[in-house]
Amino acid sequence: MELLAPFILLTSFILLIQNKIYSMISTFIWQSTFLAIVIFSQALKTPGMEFYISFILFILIKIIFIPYILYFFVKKLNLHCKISNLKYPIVVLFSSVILTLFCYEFVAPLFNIMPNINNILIAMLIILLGILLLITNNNAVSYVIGFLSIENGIFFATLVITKGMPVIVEIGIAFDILIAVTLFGVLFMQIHRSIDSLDVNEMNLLREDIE
Amino acid sequence: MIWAITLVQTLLFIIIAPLFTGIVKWTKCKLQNRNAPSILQPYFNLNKLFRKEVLIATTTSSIFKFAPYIIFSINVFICMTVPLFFVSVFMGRVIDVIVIMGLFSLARFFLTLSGMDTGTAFGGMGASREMLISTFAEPVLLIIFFALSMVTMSTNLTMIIKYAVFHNLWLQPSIMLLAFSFILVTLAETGRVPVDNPATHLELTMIHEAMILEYSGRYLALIEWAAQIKLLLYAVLFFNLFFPLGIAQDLNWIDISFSILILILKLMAFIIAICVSESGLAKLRLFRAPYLLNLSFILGLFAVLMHIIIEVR
Repeated sequence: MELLAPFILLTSFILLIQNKIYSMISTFIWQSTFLAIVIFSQALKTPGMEFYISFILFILIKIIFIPYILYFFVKKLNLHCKISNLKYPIVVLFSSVILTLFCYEFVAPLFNIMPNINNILIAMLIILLGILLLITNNNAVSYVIGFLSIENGIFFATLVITKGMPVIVEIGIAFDILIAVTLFGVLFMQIHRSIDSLDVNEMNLLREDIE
Repeated sequence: MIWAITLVQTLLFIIIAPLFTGIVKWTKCKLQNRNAPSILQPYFNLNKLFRKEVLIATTTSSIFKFAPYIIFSINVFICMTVPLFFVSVFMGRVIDVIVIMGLFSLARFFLTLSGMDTGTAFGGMGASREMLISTFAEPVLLIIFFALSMVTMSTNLTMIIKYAVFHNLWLQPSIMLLAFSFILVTLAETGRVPVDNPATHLELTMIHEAMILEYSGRYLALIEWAAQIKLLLYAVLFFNLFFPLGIAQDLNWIDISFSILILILKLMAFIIAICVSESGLAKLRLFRAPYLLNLSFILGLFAVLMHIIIEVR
């Protein structure tokens, strides 16, 4: 876990500067893969089948099903050659480094009290970087990826803090995400049909009261 | 005894460098299904250039004449300070990584100066591009070396390598990130594909070739040889700083021959990696190159942060 946590964080950083949707999805797959390896290493360490079940669920949903659905929609809505209008990716990256420093300052007083606080710090950073991704992008597909990477961060936090959740909770969350992504897909189709694009800024055109 | 080893290492650096470039070219040709020149071709080129007469433009000053000697001798001097297969070098006590970086930039300074000295448009253009790239590359190198010295608590190459071997340092995440960042800087500094193309003379794309366009004869040979040595130096620095597995620490024949064998394998891996990446990637637009280097800067910064967050407890 000590070894892989920075790489999960690194994929979060890379997600921020990707400007093509396909490469964004594949970066998300990488992030989920690293997280899956972390889950597997936890499964090897602890007795019982729970971690194996959550490992298999995680792989089925985060690495196979959700990317497949996202690829499907991107292909269907002809978004694969769309480039996001992120103007200064380096500014975003620097702001994320500042975010890292902020988190570190926030957590630093606890370093002597709690063990493995650094992993909690990394989980917190993954969540915050997901929120930064939501702020900086204005594409509906990247919203979904930002949302899912926030979810990955929360999942990592649970792994670090509580050594895993009960299986029933995990199954519940997994189905929640499954349904959320399906709903996102339906929403994509609706948005695309009404404004002929997935750029969220263009939704302002639907308002009638602009004088 | 150490001075003898250092001498052998320096000579090896100077002699192997054209062969290294030759193997890179050969592998690249084979990967692209072309007929490859012999791997000894750079030696033939150097031999030919040393025999040819020198033509010097009338507008040039004396800098144009002595710059190649300075560049070549600086590169040879750096060879004396970088461990190749044995961990200590003769001048290791007085010269650390920051001085090595300074020497590299001194060589680059004279190269750009000689590029501008001819007064042609190409020379000035190449010089300004080289300076643009190096403006972004040098802070990255500095932050990589600072991060390394934070981890190993020394800026001395020998100490860094000994510490890295002793603590299995390449398994730490910050060192992996630094290694990745160093690869990107290596590509930019040695003028390989995503930033500069060493094989072209198309005026819009060349950086290194534009500066040395007016050189001929033995001056050109010296500058090309220096560039080949620089490529080898960066490859060896990469492996010795980040994956110093198997480098000889004691002076006996078994260790040293094992170290040389491992080094050859590592360099082969480097060649294959560089050729695959060059065949797969297209050259970046010049104004996109800073993005690449900024990415590697961020990686270096990130490595420092990760070192503070995870490894210092």
